[in-house]
Amino acid sequence: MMSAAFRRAACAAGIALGVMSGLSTTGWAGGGSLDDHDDDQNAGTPFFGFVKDADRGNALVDAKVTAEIKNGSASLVTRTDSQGHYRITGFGHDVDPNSVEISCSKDGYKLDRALKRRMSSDAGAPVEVDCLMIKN
Amino acid sequence: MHLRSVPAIAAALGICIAASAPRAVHAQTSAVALAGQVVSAEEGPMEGVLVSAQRAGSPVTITVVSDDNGRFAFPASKVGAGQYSLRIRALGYDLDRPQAADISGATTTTVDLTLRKTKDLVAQLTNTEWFMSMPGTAEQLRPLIECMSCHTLERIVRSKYDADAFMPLLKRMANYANNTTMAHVQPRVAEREVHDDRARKVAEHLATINLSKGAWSYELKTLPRPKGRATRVVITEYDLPRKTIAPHDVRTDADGMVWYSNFSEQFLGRLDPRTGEHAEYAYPTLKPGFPTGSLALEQDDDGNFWLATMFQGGLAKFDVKTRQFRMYPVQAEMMTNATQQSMVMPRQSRVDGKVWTNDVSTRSILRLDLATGKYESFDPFKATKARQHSPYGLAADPENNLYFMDFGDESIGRVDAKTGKSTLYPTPTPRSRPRRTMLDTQGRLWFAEYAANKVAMFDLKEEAFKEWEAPTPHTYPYDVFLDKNGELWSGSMSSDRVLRFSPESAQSVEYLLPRQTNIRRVFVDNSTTPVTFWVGSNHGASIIKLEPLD
Repeated sequence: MMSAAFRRAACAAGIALGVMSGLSTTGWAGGGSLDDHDDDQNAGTPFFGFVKDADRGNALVDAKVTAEIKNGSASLVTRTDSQGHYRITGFGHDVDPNSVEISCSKDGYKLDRALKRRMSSDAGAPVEVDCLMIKN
Repeated sequence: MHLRSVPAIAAALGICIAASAPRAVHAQTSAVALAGQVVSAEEGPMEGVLVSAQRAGSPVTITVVSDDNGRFAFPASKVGAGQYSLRIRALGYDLDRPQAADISGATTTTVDLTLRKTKDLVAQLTNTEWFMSMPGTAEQLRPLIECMSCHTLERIVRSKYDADAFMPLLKRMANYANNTTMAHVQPRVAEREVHDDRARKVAEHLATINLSKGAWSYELKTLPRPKGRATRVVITEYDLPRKTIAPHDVRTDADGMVWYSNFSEQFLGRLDPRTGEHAEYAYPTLKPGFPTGSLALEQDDDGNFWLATMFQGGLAKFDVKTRQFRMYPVQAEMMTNATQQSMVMPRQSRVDGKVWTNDVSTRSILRLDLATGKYESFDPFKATKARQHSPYGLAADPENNLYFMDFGDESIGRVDAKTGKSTLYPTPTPRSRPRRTMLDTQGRLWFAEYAANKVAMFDLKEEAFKEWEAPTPHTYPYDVFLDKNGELWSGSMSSDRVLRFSPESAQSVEYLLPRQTNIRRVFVDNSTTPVTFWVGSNHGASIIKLEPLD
């Protein structure tokens, strides 16, 4: 399962309430019905990247990253983790990666430049979009 | 359509709780009607034993919990004069003999209870304890979550089926409606496809956790009894008049009446907790032969109740003044044999005359136009078809924009009321399966992460999450409710425990309920101090009131 391996958004790392943490509760997969399962063959292009301070080079934690389908009516919003990384998956194979627009924002910063590259020419190959930000 | 009003249990209850005026009086200020100490040879005085008293012929059971000296006390405000039978809940123990109490009303009756080790520990384990005990990876245990919607895991682990025998059984189970209980089994009309490869994996795992090879190969793990603050509580159970009643969503109104949706039958239920009077308001069956019952119960701004009528295909509105239903069936062009409305959100319908709902069968959001009675459909997952989506719990902001829980997957979704544009916000924890939700007045969406064992908050303005792990593993929190003190209440579908949690201090208490409960929607009545927690026993045909003493 592709998505289970990806870590996301450290902005809200779980705070344990109790001491009974012997059993890992993360990593539970969604769904679970007998008639349902994630359709991996149907999975389209994943997007990933980092958000950085362009001048200092440091990672920007908890930056908002929005993936919007151009000419569409759907978007997906996530946040960077403690390393400034993000990962967005779940687009269907019918979504043209060129129609997906990634934008980044963080209080006190504005976008200096975004760098985009496909990891290979294969269909469904991951696309990296990195946002380099500068202080307002 | 008000077809039936049943003052079923009023008489029996009148004497029993007439003095309680439950919205104002609390136990700590009251005289004690019945007291005693719980001891066992193994432990001496026992803390955290639930002691329940039920007066002969009464549908009401009162439960208190023993303190660190093993002492328990029933306030006179809760138990009037009469003959009471007593029962206990303490994992691993039974009463050494049947116990009764004769309460006179004038003086405190004393009954000391002696417990002995139970001969049947297995019958006392909760689903959570089975999950903790049984072998299997998270991936293998995950399908069992679905089983406990209708029955306990005890049925599975006590079975002797091997993997082959499980295969047809799994297919049969998958074709029962969600609103099936042991007391009322309801087949689906539209057949559900079951993937053989997937069913085989489940069947093979189930055959390793049951008695197909003779005995359980694993150690049975148990949860501790309540202690400290978790013992400072009074619990009242109101048994409903039929076993087939499956209260799902329970809420109180401004007059202190308790209203509930019946997951299994075509009634809206009402209980007067002061008198015990129980009434049922019937709504028409629009699709005969299809599963009956409704899931979500919500109130609109005028105090009218809305029901999501599941496989009956649409919504029902109950006018509280006229006591009449108005039905809003999904229009014929949209209706199929699988059409299923589990949720409804009418809270902000005054803004634009629209009520939100969902269709489980098409994994879509529907919106009812009150003026035309027609539904329009929104697909918030157009771009993310590769994932397994299922819109569930709903909330509406003051502009009647919709926020929904993607119970099939891991996101909070938003549908803009004006543009129809949708946005998904994945939770920090992957595959969390967010389930039910409430929006507070500060624009914070509180929700339960069912498969992640967490409660969580999404700040609409900041578009940011916070998550907190539940103190006990495998509790499957279904819902949350933020009370007037900023404390969050939740309940476990598997451990019979109610969670009370302060996000500010990260302190938590878990109250154990007296019986197997399968907690769904939770509700807090903020008009009392301390607050009063209400929930339905979805599989147990009772309404439960939990009053913390602090």
